[in-house]
Amino acid sequence: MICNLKILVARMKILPNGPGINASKFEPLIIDILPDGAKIRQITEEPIAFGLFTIFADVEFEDKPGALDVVEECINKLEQVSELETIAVSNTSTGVGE
Amino acid sequence: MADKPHLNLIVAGHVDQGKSTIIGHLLVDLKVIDERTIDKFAEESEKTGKGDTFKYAWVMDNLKDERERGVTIDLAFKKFETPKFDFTLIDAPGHRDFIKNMITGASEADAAVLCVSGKPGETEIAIAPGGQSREHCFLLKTLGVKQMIVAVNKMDANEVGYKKERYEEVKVEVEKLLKGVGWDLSKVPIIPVSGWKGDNLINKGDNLDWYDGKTIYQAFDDFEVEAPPVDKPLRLPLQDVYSITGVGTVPVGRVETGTFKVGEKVIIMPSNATAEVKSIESHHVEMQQASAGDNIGFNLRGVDKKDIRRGDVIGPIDDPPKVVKEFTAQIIVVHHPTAIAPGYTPVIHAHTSQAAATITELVSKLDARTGGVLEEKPKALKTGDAAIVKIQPLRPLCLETFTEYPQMGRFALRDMGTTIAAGVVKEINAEWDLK
Ligand SMILES: Nc1nc2c(ncn2[C@@H]2O[C@H](COP(=O)(O)OP(=O)(O)OP(=O)(O)O)[C@@H](O)[C@H]2O)c(=O)[nH]1
Ligand SMILES: [Mg+2]
Repeated sequence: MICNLKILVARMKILPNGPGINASKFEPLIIDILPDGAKIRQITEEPIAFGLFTIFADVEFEDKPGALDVVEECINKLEQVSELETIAVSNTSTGVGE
Repeated sequence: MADKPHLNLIVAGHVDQGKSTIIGHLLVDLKVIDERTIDKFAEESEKTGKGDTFKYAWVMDNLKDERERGVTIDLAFKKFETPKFDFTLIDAPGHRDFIKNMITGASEADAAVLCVSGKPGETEIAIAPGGQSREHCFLLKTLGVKQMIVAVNKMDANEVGYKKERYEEVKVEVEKLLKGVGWDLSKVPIIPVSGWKGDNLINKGDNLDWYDGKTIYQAFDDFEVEAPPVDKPLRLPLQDVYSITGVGTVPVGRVETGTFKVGEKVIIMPSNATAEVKSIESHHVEMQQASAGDNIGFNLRGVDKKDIRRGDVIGPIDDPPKVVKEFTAQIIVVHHPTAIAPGYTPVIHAHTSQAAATITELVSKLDARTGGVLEEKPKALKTGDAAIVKIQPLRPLCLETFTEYPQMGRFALRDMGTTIAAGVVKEINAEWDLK
């Protein structure tokens, strides 16, 4: 009962490997490869320069040791991903009022 | 909605001090959490006979079942606004592992609420040596968070009974802690609250009539946004480098300090390349000049994609980014299974760069409470220790002192997939000789 797994959300900043890849092009790619227990909550983009976008993906995952690394590795394996960086991690609501 | 300054607000503190409860209640009161979700809970609440006045308490009590019920009350990255600012909330997990992300992505954290329970026992655990509140205070400072509010929570608890005496007791302890880490006490309001009942979150309520300060929500609007550091020399760490057909070499990154102009000649370190800025774009719009805080992509003439890389830093030719061979740092050990001794070689992560680095000397161990020296030349450091150490990156790495360039002078040390320590660069002892 007490060791109810918490759900965390990581906000990942992703630099695609070339121009033209925006959030809507990226979303299906990422959904395909996420490990079990991980889920996209929201995906947005910021246009940068010369057709390049920065993509921000909020990915939820279960709070287990190493779980964030697994998610990062999976996304990093996509050939369309050049750089990935988790810029913030937040708790969700679960775990409140235990 | 008007364009207000945007601040990321981290809510931090030791486990169980009431972070999520404070955030949850604040969001309910601000009507950020979907009314229908609340109403659905309220309906259930009526059925249990507790009635509507228990609406909030009931919601909070039942969150753990929310997934079975198919209702989500979500605190992560929720946005809310005050008259002066737009906020995004981060309910910081206690985990040490996320510290690295907070450091490298540090511009993401602008302000913080440190939550300390006022319940006898809980307060002491949180602020004792090794307690997370102490660690968070140091880290938030390291992260460059300038604005903080301390919430002394659970004032409603039986053992506390909304008493001024208990608040004063906790306040004294918290002040000691803040001072030790270098916070300016006059800039950190310490507010008695009940995350549970809602006292002093938005409105004062009647239970704390002896308190004449601001509520949390009111205190948010005392935050000051600093002007971006445009007057300092240029520092622009590269996030990535592209070669774009028809354009050429295009690095992307965020201008941390100074300005960056079309036509200027710049140097890229430690790759030690020079180039001319041909064009700059942000939000897919061309600009003649970018300055601190801008996320940009730009075309460089005179340098090839293969000559420069992520982790490189651009600066003026007459004031190039420092390439550090040895530096003195203040660190806090956030997690190490055994002990750190000279010769230990983890990976240093700073701005967009990383490199293996050896801790060559343990200069002194510090008292986390006072910042004073506890022990000269300690033999080893363990989890929870704060210390001054000397570090040598094994390859050229751009770093600056934290006082000069906060964004370029903080780092995390990682080993075997976890964050071992966080720190700031105090002094640069030797620079790399790049011929
Ligand atoms: N009496 C009282 N209890 C509170 C208050 N705020 C939180 N609590 C209780 O304290 C416990 C922890 O609250 P949380 O909000 O989950 O604490 P947290 O800091 O988010 O905890 P972690 O996320 O596990 O670190 C819960 O049982 C809450 O019901 C308060 O203002 N008064
Ligand atoms: Mg919580």
